Amino acid sequence: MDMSAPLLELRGIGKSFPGVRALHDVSLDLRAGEVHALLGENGAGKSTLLSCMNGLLRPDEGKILIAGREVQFARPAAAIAARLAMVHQELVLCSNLSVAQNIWLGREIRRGGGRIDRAATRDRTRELLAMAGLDLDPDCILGTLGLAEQQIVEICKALASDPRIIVLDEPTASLDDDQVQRLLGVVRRLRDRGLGIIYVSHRLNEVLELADRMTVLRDGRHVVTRDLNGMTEDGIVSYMVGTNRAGNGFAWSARPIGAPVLEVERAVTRGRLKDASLRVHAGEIVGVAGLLGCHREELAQTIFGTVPLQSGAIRIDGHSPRLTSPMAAIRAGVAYMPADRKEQGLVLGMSVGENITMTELDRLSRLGLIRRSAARRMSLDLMRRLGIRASGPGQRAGQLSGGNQQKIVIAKWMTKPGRVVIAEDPTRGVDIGAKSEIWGALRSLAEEGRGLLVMTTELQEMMQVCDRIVVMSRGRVTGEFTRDAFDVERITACFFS
Amino acid sequence: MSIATTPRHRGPAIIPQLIGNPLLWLLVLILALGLMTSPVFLSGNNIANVLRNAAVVGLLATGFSVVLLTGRIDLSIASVMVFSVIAGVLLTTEAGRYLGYRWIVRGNTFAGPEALAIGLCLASGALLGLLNGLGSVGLKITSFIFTLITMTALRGVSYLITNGAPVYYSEGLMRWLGEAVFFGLPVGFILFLAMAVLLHLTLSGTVFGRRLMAIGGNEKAARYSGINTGLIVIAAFVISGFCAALAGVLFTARLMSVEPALAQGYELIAITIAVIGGISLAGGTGSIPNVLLSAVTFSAGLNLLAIWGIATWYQNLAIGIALIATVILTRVLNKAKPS
Repeated sequence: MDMSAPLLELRGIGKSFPGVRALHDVSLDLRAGEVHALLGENGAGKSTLLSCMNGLLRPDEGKILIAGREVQFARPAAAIAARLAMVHQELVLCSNLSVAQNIWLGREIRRGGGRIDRAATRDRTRELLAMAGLDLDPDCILGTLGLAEQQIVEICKALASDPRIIVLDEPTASLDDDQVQRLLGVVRRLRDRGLGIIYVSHRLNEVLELADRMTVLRDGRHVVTRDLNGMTEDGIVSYMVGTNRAGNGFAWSARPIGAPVLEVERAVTRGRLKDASLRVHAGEIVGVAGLLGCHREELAQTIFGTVPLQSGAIRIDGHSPRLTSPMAAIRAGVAYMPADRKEQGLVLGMSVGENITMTELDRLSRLGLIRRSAARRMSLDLMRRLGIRASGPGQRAGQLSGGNQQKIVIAKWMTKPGRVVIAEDPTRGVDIGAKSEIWGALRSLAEEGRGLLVMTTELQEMMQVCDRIVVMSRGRVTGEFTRDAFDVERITACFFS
Repeated sequence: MSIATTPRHRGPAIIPQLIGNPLLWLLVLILALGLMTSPVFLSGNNIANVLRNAAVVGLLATGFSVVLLTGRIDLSIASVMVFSVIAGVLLTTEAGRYLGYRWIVRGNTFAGPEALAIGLCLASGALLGLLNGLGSVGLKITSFIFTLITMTALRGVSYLITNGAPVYYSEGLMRWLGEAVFFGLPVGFILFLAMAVLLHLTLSGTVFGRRLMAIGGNEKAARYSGINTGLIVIAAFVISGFCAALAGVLFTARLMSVEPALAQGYELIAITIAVIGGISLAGGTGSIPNVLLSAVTFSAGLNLLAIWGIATWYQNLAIGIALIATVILTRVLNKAKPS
């Protein structure tokens, strides 16, 4: 084995899915004894790259080298055999089994006759736990442990295959600060033993604290691989969002702003929303910015009546309706375009037309019978207005591309009279052309005098289309900027306050 | 592709759809085999018998399918079927006693107004469906569990209120329902046909039907579109209960008696027919006409096996094979279609 070669090297990796180029010419090298951060916005291609690394996906282009030798992983087991172990973001452990049973699940240490060698299992488990610096009884039932311990057990499970490379996909996403520190300690310990670690995280402060180098992806492309010496969070963010993205039909123009249509005052919910106040006026597009864990989705859910308000007030068009269900919220004049179009926005098995008219069936029927021609006219009209590319209203929604599906989610609400429109990540995972059409459609809603609350992960996009940006962090509103004061660094500073 | 130039969308043509339907081919195969091997299989009398049986199991399966389409299950249908007939008779008898008539005569035979008994039976079925709906939606108990409870409990109550003894019907409306034939079709089958057509039109052309299908396809998206999902699910259970009671009436009309131990395991026959008819257990996909076809095919197939003198356990094996074949065939056909 060539000891001078990097543990893992990716050269010019490319991967396309139907209609999307997920990765384009991405390269990365991982040395022994380093923590290498892999960074990028949602949809930048991190997950696809990880899947290519561990054999879940096969890259269309490029090479993967392990210790200088080219490899091709047909499935995750092949990656593990090549001593590359992945720890997924979600825990994949059985909470009813013991720590030792979990760690050795699928590769149990056996004695003759298919019996499990309990003593050896316990000893080896102790070794692994010691390696991670966790003082635990191997027979302890996993479900009784805290989240951080479970996360560390997950890492121990990866260590059980004796890897030289460990990939950690957002291991701290659901941990609090103390738990994060424990986990970072474990990662450092593994680095000091000479393992190479690829570390994916949205928490830039912990990346700066932990990692030696970073690779940033944006829109599926490799932006930079560099040392983290002297880097700041703002510096990383500007690599991630790109400061000079080309202008692309996201033109902003002044609109007449009217009376407030949505007023949220000191909203608190059980759990996530700590203190959120904001106001949206007729004709206005207001963006809510924040990192994962800022709980702006909770704010949207509260306004839409699926999460109860514990204290505070929500006023719509000056009234204070009881927002107890989506039905009540829609009656009060709220339209909600959820982020997860497949899970919450569309019935994929139904046709484009059936989805578009779902919110309008009462208007499109007489005595409970659907007036097919009227429904068809409305579908065709909205398809034309939004540029939904389908063979016709009869095509199944599940067959369309992401951008066209997203336009259906918007079309569902175009003809409703509601004054408040909440759009969560309306441009997630869609190409730049569809993005511009989607923003155009949303802008036309504002021009009709509705107030829009948009939440996207792409700050740059929000800065282009919004009249105002409100920043949230950990369930609180921590900043508010009018258009003339938009500034990446000042806005992102509020992400962490 | 631009929208303006697309040809007007029409519903899928019925003829090619039928030709492409493997169920129809199975039915044709059964009929051909029957014609070749048995002189009685295609006789008017036997066909009427096949259709009478298809009406009972088909009605059960149709109501059951409406619940399946919402992504839920109603295990109680066979119990509801028997219980509601018993309830109809006993409620009528009670009403008679209140009015000073004696409507249960010698030999435990019901001699009261049959139309009233049937009406009360259908109403009980719908009410029990309402109970199932309220229980699983209102109490947020999984429909599998809640209808398992009602399935068991209703059997118990049926025994309690009859002491396990059968109640007999005398000649009259019931006999007519069991025996009358119009244009070669038994009256029970005509009722099933009417119910199936009505439910098919409801599911395909009304707001209620569209919303019900949406709930089965993606309940969250339906809720987020402002649909009162609870109400629609409850209505689906009411339809299922009503269909079960109607199936119970037709079932009783053939035996001219009812007792609590009857029709055990019929819910499994309904599941079989629904699945062979292409209703997805996950909800949202399937059509009632296919369930109708499935019920006729199912009962024709079993009838032919019986004519051949094949023992019941082999008949069960045949049902099992048909089920597996359907599941595999569906998977193959779905793969062949570009998604």
